[in-house]
Amino acid sequence: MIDILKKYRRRFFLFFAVFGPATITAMADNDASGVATYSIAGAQLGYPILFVLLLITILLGITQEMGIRLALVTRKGLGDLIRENYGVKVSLFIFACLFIANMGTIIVDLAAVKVTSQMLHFPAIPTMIVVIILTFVFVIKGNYKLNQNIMLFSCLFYLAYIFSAMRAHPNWSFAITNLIIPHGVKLTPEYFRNYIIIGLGVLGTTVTPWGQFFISSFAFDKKIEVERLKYSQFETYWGAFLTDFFSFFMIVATAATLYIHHISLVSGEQAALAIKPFAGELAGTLFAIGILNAGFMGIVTVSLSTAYAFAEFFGLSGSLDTSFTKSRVFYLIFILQLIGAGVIVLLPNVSLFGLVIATQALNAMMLPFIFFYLLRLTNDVSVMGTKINNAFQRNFGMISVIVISIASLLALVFTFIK
Amino acid sequence: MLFFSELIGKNVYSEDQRELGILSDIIFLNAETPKVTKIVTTNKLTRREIPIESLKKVNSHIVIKRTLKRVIIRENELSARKTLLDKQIIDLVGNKVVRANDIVFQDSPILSISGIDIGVLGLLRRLGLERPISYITHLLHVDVPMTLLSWSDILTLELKDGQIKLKQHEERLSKIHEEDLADYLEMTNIQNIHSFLKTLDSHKAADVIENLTINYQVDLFQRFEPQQAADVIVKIDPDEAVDILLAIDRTKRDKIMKILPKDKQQELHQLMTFSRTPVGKLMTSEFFAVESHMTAADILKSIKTNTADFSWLQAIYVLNRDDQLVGVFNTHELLMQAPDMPAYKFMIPEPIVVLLTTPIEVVIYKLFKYKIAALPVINREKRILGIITVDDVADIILKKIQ
Repeated sequence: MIDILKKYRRRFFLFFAVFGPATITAMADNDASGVATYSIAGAQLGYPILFVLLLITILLGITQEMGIRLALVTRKGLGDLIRENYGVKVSLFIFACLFIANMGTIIVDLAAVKVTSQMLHFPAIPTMIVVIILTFVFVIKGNYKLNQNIMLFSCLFYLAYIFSAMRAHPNWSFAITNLIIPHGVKLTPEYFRNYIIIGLGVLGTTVTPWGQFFISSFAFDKKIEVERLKYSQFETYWGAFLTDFFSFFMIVATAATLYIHHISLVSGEQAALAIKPFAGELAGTLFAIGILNAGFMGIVTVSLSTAYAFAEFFGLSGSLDTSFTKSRVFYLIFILQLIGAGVIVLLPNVSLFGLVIATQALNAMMLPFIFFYLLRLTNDVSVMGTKINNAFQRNFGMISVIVISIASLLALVFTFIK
Repeated sequence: MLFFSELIGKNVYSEDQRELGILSDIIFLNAETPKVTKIVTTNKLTRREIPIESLKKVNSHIVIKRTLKRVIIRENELSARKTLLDKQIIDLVGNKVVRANDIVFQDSPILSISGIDIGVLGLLRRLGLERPISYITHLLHVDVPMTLLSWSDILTLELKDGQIKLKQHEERLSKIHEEDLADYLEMTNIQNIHSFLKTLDSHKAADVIENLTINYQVDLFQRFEPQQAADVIVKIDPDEAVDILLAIDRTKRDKIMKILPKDKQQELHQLMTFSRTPVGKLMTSEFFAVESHMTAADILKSIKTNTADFSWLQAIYVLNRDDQLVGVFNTHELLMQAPDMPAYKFMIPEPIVVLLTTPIEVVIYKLFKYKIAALPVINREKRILGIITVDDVADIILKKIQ
C-alpha cells in the first residue's frame, strides 16, 4: 500500500516537475489580445463562434504536443531545426513571419495598458513607460524560477473571468450545442464575412506562431528529459483545454450580454459593461486590472519568444539562465521590440479594440507556413526516429494547414473587396 | 576563395557535354587539412558521388572528366552540407557562439576547406544579397568585414556528433568578460590555464589572472619566468600583487622584485612589510577555495585535479564572486552532500578568521577555543591570503610547554 502511495506521489511530483511550458504557453495565449479578441467575437458573433473554438482547442493541443515532442526528442528548438534542415532563406522567412505577427501582438498588448490607464484615470504615457520598465526588470533581473512562478501565479487571475461569466446567466444549453454545430443566428453575407475574419482572429490569438517557438525553447530551457515525454504530452493537452476553458467563458459572458443587446465593442468601458450589471461597480476595476495583467503576461512572453527564436535561427546564446553579458543580442531584441511597440502605441488613434482582430488574423495567416515546417519535421523519421506523428496527427495537421490557408485567402478578399 | 553557397547548385557536365545534374554536396576528409575528396551531384533520378580527381574545371558550371567508377564514402569523410552548413557552433564549455553561415574553400595547394564564414556577409551571400548590399555599403564607405572561423580553431574529432566545437584557443574566447573567463578557466587544470593565457595579449592575461582565485594565481606564478611574472605584477592591483608575492616562495619573490621598476618595488615593499608579521611567516598558502555556486560534485572533481600535491586538506573555503571569503566546510561535510548541492547551501557561513596583524597567541587561542584545524588569514578586503593550521603552530606550543 505504502509502495503504491509512494509510486503515485513520485508520479505526482514528476508531473509538477514538467508542469510549466505547455501550461504557461497555453495560458499566455489568453493575453490581452486574447481577452479582447474573445470579447469581440462574443459581442459580434454570439454563441456560434464557440464551434470554431472547439476545433481550435484540438488544433492547439495537437500542435503544441508536436512542438514539445520535437523539442524533447531532438533536444533542439523549432528555430534550430528549421535553420539546420531548411537553410538561411527559409529561416529568415519564418523569422520575418514570426516577427511581424509578434510585433502586432505586442502592440495590442501594450494598447491594453493604455485601456487600463484610461479606465482607472491614470496618465497614459507614464503608465506605459512604467509597465515597459517593469517588463525589463522582470525579465532581466528576475531569475528563471521567479519568472516562471510569477507567470504561473498570474494564470490564477483568469479565474476572475469565470465568475464574471457565471454571473451573466447565459443560455447554457444554447452555448453548449453551439460547440458542436453553429446555429441560432441568421446567416447573412455580413455575418459570414465577420465570422471568417473574427474566426481567424480567434484562431490566431489561441494557436499563435510564437507559441510554436516558445513551447519548444521553453521546454528545452527547463531541461525536461525525453523519458518524461508522456507527462509533457499530457500537460500540453491539459494546457490546451485550460486555455480554451477560460476562452469559452469569456465568449459566453460577452455573448450573453453585449451580443444580446447589440452593443458593439470599441472601448474598455464597453468591454467591462459585459460584466458590470452582474459585478456592479467592481466590474470596471476588475476588467481594468485583468486586462493589465493579461497585457503584461503577453508582452513578456511574446517578446521573449521573438528573442528566443532569433537566438535559435542565428545560433547566438540565448536563455533566461545565462547572464546579461553572455546573451546581449538576445536581450537587445527583446528590448527593441518593446520600445518599438511603445512608440507606436503612444500614437493617439492606436487602440486595443480597433487593432486586435487585424493583428490576430495576421497571426493566423502566418500559421500555415510555420505548421508546414512543424509537420515536415515531425513527420520525418530521420529527425524523430520512432516518435513521428501518427496518422491522425499528420492528417489533422495537413487539413488544418489547408483550411487556414483558404480562410486566410477569403479574409483577404473580404478585406480588400468590400 | 570559393564559397559553398556559390558552388552549390552549379550545373555539372561531363566532358562530352552531357548534363549530369547539379552540385548538391561536397565531401571532405575530416582531418587537420580538410581536403575535398568527392563532390555529389543530383538530378531528378539519382545522386552520384564523384571523386575529386575527376574534377576538370569550375567556373559558371562544373566539368568533370569521364569516369563513372562508383565510389564509397569512407568513415572519416564527412558531408559539408550535413555536418557544417547551418550547424550550431559552440565553445568548449558548450555555450552557443554562432551558426555556420557558409563554408569557405581554398583551391591551392589543394582544394580544401579553409574555414567557416560566421559573419553577416555569409548570411547575405546565402540570400543572394551579398553583392547589392556590398555595393551600397561601399558607397556609404562602411566597411563590413568578413568574419571567418579558421579550420584550425575547430575540434575535428567532435564533428561527427553533429556540433561544431571550438578549441580553447579561439579568438572569441578572449572577447568574453575577464571574470567569466577566469571562472571558466578554473574549471580546467593549471596546465590548460597556463597555455591558454599565452594566447592572450599581456593586458588581457593580467586581467584574467587578477580574477583567478589565489591558489591558481600562486600555481601560475610558480610556473612563470621571473620576467613574465613581473609583467603581470605591474599590471594588476597592488594589493592583489602583494597577496600573490607573499604566497609564492621567497627566492622566486626576490627574483621578481628585482626586475620591477623602482617605484613599483618601493610600493610593493611597503605593502609587504605590513605583512611581515608572525602570522604572515607562519601561514601557508596551501589551501583550497571554491566558489559558492559550485556543486559538491564539481568540488570533488576540482579537489582531484587541483590538490594532488597538497599535504593537508581538511577545510575548504568558499569565496563569493569578488573572491571574498564567505564560508567554510570540512571534507567530511562535503562527502555527505548530494552531488548537485551547491556550496552555499551547506557551507558554514562567516567562518572564524584572523588577520596578518593578529598576535600569534590569539591565533592559537582561537584554534583551540573553537576546536578547528585551520584558520584562514584574510586581508582587509576579506580575501584569503593563506591559512594557519594546528600543525603550523605546533612548534610554538611545544616550546611554551617546555
